[in-house]
Amino acid sequence: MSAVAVPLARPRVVRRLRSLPGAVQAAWVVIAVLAVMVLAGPWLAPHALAQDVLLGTVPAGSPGHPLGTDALGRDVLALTIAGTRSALVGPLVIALGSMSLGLLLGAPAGYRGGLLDSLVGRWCDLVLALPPILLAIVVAGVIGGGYWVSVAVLVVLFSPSDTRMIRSAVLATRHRPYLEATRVLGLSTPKVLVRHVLPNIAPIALTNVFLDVAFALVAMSSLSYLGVGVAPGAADWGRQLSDGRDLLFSNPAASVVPGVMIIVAAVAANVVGDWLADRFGVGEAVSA
Amino acid sequence: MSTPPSHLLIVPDLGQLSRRSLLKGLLVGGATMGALAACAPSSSSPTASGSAGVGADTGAEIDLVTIALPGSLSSLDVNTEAGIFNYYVAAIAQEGLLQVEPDGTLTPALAKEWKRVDASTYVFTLRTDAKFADGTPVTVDDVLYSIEKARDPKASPGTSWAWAGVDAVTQTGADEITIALSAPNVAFEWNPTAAGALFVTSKAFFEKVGTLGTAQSLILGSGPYKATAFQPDSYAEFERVDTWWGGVPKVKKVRFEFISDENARLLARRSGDVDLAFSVPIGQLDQWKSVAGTRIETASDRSWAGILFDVTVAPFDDQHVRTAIALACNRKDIVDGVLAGNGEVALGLPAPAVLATAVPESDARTLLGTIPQYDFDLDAAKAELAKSSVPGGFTVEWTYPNSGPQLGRAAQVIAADLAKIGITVNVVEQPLEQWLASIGDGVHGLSYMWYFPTTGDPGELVGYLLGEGNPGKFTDDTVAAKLTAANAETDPATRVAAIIAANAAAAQKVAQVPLWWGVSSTAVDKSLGLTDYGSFFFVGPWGSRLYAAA
Amino acid sequence: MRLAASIGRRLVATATLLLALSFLVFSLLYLAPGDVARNLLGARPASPESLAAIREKFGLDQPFLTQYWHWLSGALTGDLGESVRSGSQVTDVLGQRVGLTLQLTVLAFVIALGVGAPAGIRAARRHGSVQDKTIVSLAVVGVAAPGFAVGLVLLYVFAVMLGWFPVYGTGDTPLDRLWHLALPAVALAAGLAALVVKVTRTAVLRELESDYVTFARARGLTPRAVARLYLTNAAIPVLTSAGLLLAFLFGGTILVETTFSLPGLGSLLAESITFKDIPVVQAVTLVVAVVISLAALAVDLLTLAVDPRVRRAGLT
Repeated sequence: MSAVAVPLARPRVVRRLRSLPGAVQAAWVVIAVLAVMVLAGPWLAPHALAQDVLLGTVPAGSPGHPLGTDALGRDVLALTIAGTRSALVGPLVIALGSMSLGLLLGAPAGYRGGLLDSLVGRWCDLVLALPPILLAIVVAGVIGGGYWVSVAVLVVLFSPSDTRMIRSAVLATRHRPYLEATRVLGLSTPKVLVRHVLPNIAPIALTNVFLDVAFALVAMSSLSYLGVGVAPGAADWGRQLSDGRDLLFSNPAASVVPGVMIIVAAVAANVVGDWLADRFGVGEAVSA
Repeated sequence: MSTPPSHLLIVPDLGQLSRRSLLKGLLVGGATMGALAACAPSSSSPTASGSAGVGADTGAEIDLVTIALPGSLSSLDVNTEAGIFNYYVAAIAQEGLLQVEPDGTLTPALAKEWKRVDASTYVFTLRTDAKFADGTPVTVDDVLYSIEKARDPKASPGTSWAWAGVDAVTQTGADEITIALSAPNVAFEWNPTAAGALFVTSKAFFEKVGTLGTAQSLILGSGPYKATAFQPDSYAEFERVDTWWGGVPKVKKVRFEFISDENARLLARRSGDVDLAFSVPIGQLDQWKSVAGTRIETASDRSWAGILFDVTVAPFDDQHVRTAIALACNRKDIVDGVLAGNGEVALGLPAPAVLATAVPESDARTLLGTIPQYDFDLDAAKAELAKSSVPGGFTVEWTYPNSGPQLGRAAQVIAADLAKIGITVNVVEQPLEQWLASIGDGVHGLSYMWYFPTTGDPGELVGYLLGEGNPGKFTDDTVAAKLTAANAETDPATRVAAIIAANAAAAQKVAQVPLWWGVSSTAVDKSLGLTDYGSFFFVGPWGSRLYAAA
Repeated sequence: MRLAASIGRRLVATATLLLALSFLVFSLLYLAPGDVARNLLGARPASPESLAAIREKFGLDQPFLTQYWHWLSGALTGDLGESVRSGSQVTDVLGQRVGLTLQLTVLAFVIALGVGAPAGIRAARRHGSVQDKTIVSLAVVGVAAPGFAVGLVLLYVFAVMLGWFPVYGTGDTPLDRLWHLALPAVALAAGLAALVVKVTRTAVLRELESDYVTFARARGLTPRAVARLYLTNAAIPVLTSAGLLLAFLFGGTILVETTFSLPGLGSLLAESITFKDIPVVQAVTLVVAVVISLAALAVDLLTLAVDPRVRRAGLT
């Protein structure tokens, strides 16, 4: 499938890619392939949802079904390709959303300190102390379940760790001489934050977006178990994983393949995140 | 052992909740007048039951039988938590006035005889040789006290519903109790059983412990076993007693392990830790069979799965819409495909195995054959929808409990066909409690009904789904008249005929769409024999019906 | 004195957090779909009278704030109420579960630190070597592979194929308990160990690159003495993040508990939420929150003790 990705890449990109460590090269290739699957999924696997109930579950290697079928007789390969979009778009939105919240809350808190900082800190404590399942079930019950509802729940659940990290990153830059200088010059807080602090913490934020994607991938699939996430039977890796759990011994591929896809995507996001961290010298960016 | 470890998958971390921990753990349901199936019914071949290939009784004693439950219990007291597995577990230690034989006949338990004076008066004569596991005799006072507790909805949310129609319970002789009903109900006899709503315990014990069924208090009954240990959501242990009036059982100790993850349960069997497993899931049946020394016992579990319409919710108030949906249900493919043949296309409400407690099964099947059927025909469905108030179709949400993955799959099959005639169905999976709350809530016009009776009253399901206050709010004069007649009818055959007539009249108006009758599979080690295994085996004193097979 | 005041303020803040949390959780459960009375009765044809009787028993017929006040005033006097689902005292229910989850968490923590820290140090010392790359790759996969997957693999290999460990259950004696918890703890520790490897490696690398290490080496200190120097400094971020992770572990053991059929706090919480068993959910949430808050406080104090820059800013 990497053949699909290469023609898209411009020579300069290829040259730059070649200069990277092996793992990072591989991670970028994986991300490119996944991006193609996200964009072209409906054309690559148009009949992914076609059922064949009487055929039922057949194991991998059966004629016409290299990865077998699920409980409704749907082709696992086609379903997995079609499921890429749903599996990846949500986590990306979660990562960006929670990082935006993190910047919005964490940066002023770290820069200003005082009451604002305490309030933001306690808010983070509160969200972190809240059992995720409770929040998910209640939100699903009150608003109704669904894909975007679970994305929203995860944005809220992911935001405290991003907020805390941004806060401490800002805290660390606050006492740098040039920032002290801006204060002396009397620049307003928002201005200082946007013009001087943000560029400093952008690498950390970017790095953590990638790490958040990795965690969100796994978290999204867990919400499928709660009935909060993706509708049953939809083409989505997390959903396939939970739908296919009963088939673990009759067609393991039905759950193992989407499971491996989740790990591969999460590892790729992690590798890129770590590489960015190294490159920017931001130290360890653990998303707790 | 055929599956390499690489087949093991990866599941979520954040929400940290497996479907099974959520649902299998929460068993609600199961009892005389209606209880939704709480566990996945599943199985092998419809209605067939049998212990083919089991060795003869060696007469030897067995030290320990370990039983794996697919969910967990939070209380041993059925009055508090009345899931189907609560019934199975309590049935070896506690008794009612009557008991249910594996084939569904009622026989004496704590009452040595009983008499139906008329359809609303029942007289029970207690046996005098019954003792609780602590050695104290079972007195009339204990029975009266237990009934009084069972009737109180605060003390017994799990069982009080069954006593709602009881007017008075009085001692009418040295060993005699008379129960008077406020309205005739010939099926009442099913209620004072441990398969229904009576678990007799000692008054002194009750007063001593306060709350029954906890890890500290356990339960005390007069059955063949006594509870010796209970760790909620982990295990429960029972030892045999020599105080039971029916004799001393062969198995010395029965241990229930609550293994909420189905894959872990199968692994536990493979590692040889488990001798018997209730309700093996359909999807794993082949894997269970392939474990050396395992046989699968199957029997109808009398469960009914089907579509319930709330006839007060548009557009399901329109009979054309209901008929269109009924015609779009490919029941045969669902039973053959989704259930892999482990079930039977339901022709009506009561399963043949339930009717068979009153009339011969062949007669029951003939009667069921008189109920109007809507065979799969998408063209007819489309034509029917065209005549309705929503000829162009509509969009609707259809929820199912996540303890029944097969319900979800069947819903997806039906949804795919309904999409072809213009009806968009959004299938939604919900935790059991949430799904329960959505039935008949006045919002969901299309719901699943998954009903898992513990008793064999032929009128139970019809009474629940068609009687007064039914969750679909269906009303029909013919149906109501037939049901009233059935409740007062003492001749079993005439009563069954009235029940089927009510069912047929409702089917004429498509009050529900019956999908399938369930079959349940029990995995048993070949060294263990089950005497007279049948549909009602696990709701009677089954601990005394286990034997060492050659 | 300032420190004591800081800690005092922090404890007040924690108490406020717990109060806010209890109110939030109570409200969320109140809003959650379902009806306790219905859950208790199951799907039977319940009469309005019995539904009303049950609602009255649990005070569900009272206004929302009255219900909350009833719970709060009980909790403040040490009465956590009784479980709606099982009728047991909540303190009993908690008592049965909390030990197991605590043992599991601590065991997993010890394993994660015991394996993760040495591996991280080794990787940092051999920066860029094959060993380093192997350790880092394992850690990356470890972070991405959730405990559940690891759990099932472990179950299959060690409990079923090799038969060294039990498939389910908790064990009766302490030694037996350890034997039963070994696999779940390893499954739980896998992800944490991977994080510890990453944190340790980065921390040690940073120290190795700092001037004082070069200086100490130039001054001719023995490798052992130099190592002691930089390892002590590197230990701070490792302990900090590990301490916080321990708290999160404590609140997040559900999947592993389910895979191994262990009756811990995680499974209790999940089941109680869907049942709307408010007293139990409240109690579990608060216990977990207390542990998380105390761990956070301990970690902050630790940072305070070693980092003068932060000390100046005070505790938040």
